[in-house]
Amino acid sequence: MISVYHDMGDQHGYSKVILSRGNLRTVSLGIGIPIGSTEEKIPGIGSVLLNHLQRNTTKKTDDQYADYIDNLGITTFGSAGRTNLSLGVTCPPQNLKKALDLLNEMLFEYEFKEDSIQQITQRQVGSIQQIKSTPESILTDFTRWTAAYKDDKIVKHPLGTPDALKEINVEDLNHWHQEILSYKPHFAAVGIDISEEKMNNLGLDSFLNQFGSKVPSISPITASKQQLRIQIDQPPMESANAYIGVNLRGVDPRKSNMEDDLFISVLSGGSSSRLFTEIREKRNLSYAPRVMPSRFFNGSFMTAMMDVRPDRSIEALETTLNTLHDTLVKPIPQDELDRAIKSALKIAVFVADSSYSYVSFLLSRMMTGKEYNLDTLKEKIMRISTEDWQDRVLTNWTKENLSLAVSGEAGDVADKWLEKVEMVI
Amino acid sequence: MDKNFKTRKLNNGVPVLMATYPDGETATIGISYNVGGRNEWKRGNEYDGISHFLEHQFFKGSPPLTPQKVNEALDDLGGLDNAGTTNEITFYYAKTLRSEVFNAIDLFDKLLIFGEISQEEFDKEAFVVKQEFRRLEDNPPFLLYKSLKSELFKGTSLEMDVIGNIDSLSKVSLRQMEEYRNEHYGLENAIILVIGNYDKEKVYDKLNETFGQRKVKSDKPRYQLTEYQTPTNSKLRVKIIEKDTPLVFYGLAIKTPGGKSEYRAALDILTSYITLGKSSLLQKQLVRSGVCAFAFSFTELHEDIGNLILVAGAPQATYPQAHQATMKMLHDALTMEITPELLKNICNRIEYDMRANLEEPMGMLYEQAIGYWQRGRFISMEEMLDEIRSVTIEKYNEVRNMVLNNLSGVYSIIGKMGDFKPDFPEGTWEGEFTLD
Repeated sequence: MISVYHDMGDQHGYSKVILSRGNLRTVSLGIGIPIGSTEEKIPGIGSVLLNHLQRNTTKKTDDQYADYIDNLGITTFGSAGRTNLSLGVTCPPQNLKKALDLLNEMLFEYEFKEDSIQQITQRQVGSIQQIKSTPESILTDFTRWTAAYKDDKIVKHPLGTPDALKEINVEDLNHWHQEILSYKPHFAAVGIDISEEKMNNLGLDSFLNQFGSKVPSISPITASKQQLRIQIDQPPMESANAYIGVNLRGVDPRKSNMEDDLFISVLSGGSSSRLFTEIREKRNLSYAPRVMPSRFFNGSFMTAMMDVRPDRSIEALETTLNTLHDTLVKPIPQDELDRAIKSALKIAVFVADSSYSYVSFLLSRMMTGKEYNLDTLKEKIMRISTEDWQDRVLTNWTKENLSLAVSGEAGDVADKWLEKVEMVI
Repeated sequence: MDKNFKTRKLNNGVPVLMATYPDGETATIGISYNVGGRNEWKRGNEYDGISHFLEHQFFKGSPPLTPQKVNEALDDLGGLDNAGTTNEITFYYAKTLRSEVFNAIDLFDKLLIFGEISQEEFDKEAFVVKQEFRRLEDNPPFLLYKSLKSELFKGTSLEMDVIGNIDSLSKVSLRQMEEYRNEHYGLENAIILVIGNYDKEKVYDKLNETFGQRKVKSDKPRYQLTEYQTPTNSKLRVKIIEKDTPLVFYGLAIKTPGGKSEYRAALDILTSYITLGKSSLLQKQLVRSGVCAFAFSFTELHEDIGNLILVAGAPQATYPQAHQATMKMLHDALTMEITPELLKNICNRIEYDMRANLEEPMGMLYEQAIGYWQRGRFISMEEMLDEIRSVTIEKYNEVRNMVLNNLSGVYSIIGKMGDFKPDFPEGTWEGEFTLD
C-alpha cells in the first residue's frame, strides 16, 4: 500500500513530502535548506556546522548523544553542498517520535563548543587532504568545477580551505546557524506506516514553523561565457593513470526536468550506453567511463569522465567529443531511446528500495526545483519521443559550454584540446 | 519462521534462496560461485587474477550473443548489473524492474560461461582489466587494504591478490582461461539467489526450466584451507608503501577465527563494539576526537579463518597522535570489561543495523551471496540475530582474548610519516613493530 501526500507550500513551490511504503523496514526524514558553500563568508563553515549539530545538544553531551542514538537505532545524515545542505535521521518505525524530537533538538537546542569545533575542523582538514591524495577525487571535487566555472563562487568546495577552517569559532558558528534557520526548508519523510496526519500529530508542523521564510537569492553564474577552458591539476603524488573529464555546462535544473536525465542515460545509463560502448567496449580505453551530473540551485553541468593511460588520453578525448557531438546532433533510434527511458526510469524506481535513498533523492530534487514525484517523473520520461529528442537536448549544445578537466599526466592532451574540438564540431 | 525467506533446491540440486520483499518494485537475481583468488594459488604467475578476469568475460556472452547484444539485453531489463570477485567467491547480479524477472533469468542462463570465449574479446578485455588495476593503484585506501591482506596471509592461499597484476594479466592465455573456467564454474559450485517482489512458485518453476536443466558434477573444486592459531606474542610487521600522499594512510590487520567456527557470533559482537555506531570505540576515540580524517574497521570471515582490518588516515602533523590513539583504542577493546547491559545494547545495535542494511534487497544479496560460502548454508536475519543474542559474556571474553591478548599481524602505511616510528604505546602491549 502506498500513500502519497504532497503539500505545495507557497508560491516558491517549497514542499513537504510524506510517503508511506510497505516494502520498507525503516523511516527516514530530513530537511533541505537552500543555502550552501557558495554563500559562505567563511569557507567550509556549513560542513563544520552540520558535523557539530550531529554531535551534542544542550540536553546531551557528546557521549550521551552517541549512546542515545545508538540505543534507539537512529542514524543521522547530513550533507553540505554548494547551494544547499541537508540534515536528517533514519530510525526503526517504533522510534519515529524520538527521531523527530532528536532532529528538533539538534537544530534548535544546540550548544557549540570551542573544543568540539577544533576537533571537527581538524578532521575536515584531513578530509580535504584525503581528496587530494587520490587523483580521481581531485578531478571530481576540484578540477572539473574550476574548468567549468573558473572564478565563480560555485567552485568553492563545501569542505572549505584549511586556513579558513582554523579560524572558525563559536560566534561564527552561531551566526551561520541563525542564517540557516532563517531559510524556509524542504521536508521529506519516507518509510513504513507513516502519514501526514501521523507526522503532524508527532509535531512536524511545530517543528517546521520554527524556520524562517527566506528564499534563496543566489546570483547568476558569472563564468557562463568562458569558452573552451582547460584546467589541469597535477596531483602531489605520482599516478598510474590520467583522469580526464569533458564538461558540458547545462541549464538551470528548474528549466530542464527530464531532458538531462534522458541525455545522461543515453550516454552513460547502462552497459549499452554510448560512452561505455565507445570508450570501453570498442576501444578499451578506460575501465570506468561515466557521466557525472552535478546540479545546483541555478545551474548544472555534466562531466564525461574516465581513467585513461596517459599515452591514450588524446584518443579518449577525441572519442568522447565525437560521442557527445553525435548524441546531441543526430537522431536517436527508437530502440535506443526505449532503453534510455528504461534506464532513466530505473533511477526513479530503485531509490524506492530504501527509506534513506528515497529521502535523499527527494531532497536533492526539491532543492534544485526538479520533479520529485516518481509517478509524474515516470509519465513525463515515457512521453519523450524520437521526434522531440533533438529539440530537447540541443539547448545544451554550444561550444562555449564545453571545458576540459585533467588530473594527472595526460601527455599532449591539453595541446590538442582546441584542435580536437574544432575537428569534431 | 520468516515466510519471506525460503531456501530450496533445483531439480539438479543447486541451492536457491528465494527472499521476497512484498510491495517492492524490483527483483534481483544473483549467482554466486565458490571461486576466487584462493583457487589461483600456486598455479603459476599467469593465473594470478584469472577468476576476476573471467568475471569480466561473463558479460561478453557467447555466439550467437555478441557483447553488444548482451549489453543491450541487460539494459532492456531496466536494470543494474554488476559482479564481484573476492578471495573465494565470484558473484554476478542484475537488479531489474520486477516485471522483468523472468527475462533476467533467461538472460543469466544464457550468459553462464559454458560457451566459447573469442580471442578478440579476450584480448580487448585484458586491456580493461589492466586499466582497472591501474585505477586501484591510484586509490590509497584500497592499496593499503590489499597490502594488509596479502601480507597477513603470506604463505597461504589467502595471500593472492584478487585482481592479479600487469604481468600476470599480460601472460595468461585464452586456453588457460578456458581450462580454468571448465574446472571451476560448474553449477555444482554455485548458488542462485532471487530477491525482491515476485511470484515465488512461478520463479522457482522458471529456474528449474533453465538452470535446473544443467548437469552438475559430483565433486566441486577446492582451495587449500588454513587454520586460525592464537598468537603467542605481540608483533606487528611494518610494510611501507612508497607514495607521497598529503594524508598519511595507515592500518593494521590481525587474524581471527573463521566463519564456520563457534566464535562467529561473539566475533560479530567484538567487531561491533569496536566499530558499529557513533558510540563505538573507534568513532569516539579516532573520529569524533578529530585525530583521524577517517577511520573504519571491519571483519572479513572465510570459512576457515578471518581477519580484522582497521584503516585510517590522518594529516602528517597528527599522524603520531592518531597512531597512538589507534593502538590505545584497540587496547581498550581488550581491557574494558563488558557488562550485561552493554552486551545487550551492542546486540540491539547489531539488530538495528542489520534491519536497516537488509531493507535494500542488494544488502540481502551481498550478505547471502558471500555468507553462504562462509557458513555453508543460507541463514535468515532472524536466525543470525538469535545466534548473536545467545552469546554469553564468557564467550565474548574468550574470543576477545584470543584475538587481542597478543596483537600480532601486519601494519601498513602510505604517505610521509617523517621521523616517527610506530610502536606499541606505553600501557598497551609488550611487543615490537618490525620493519620488513
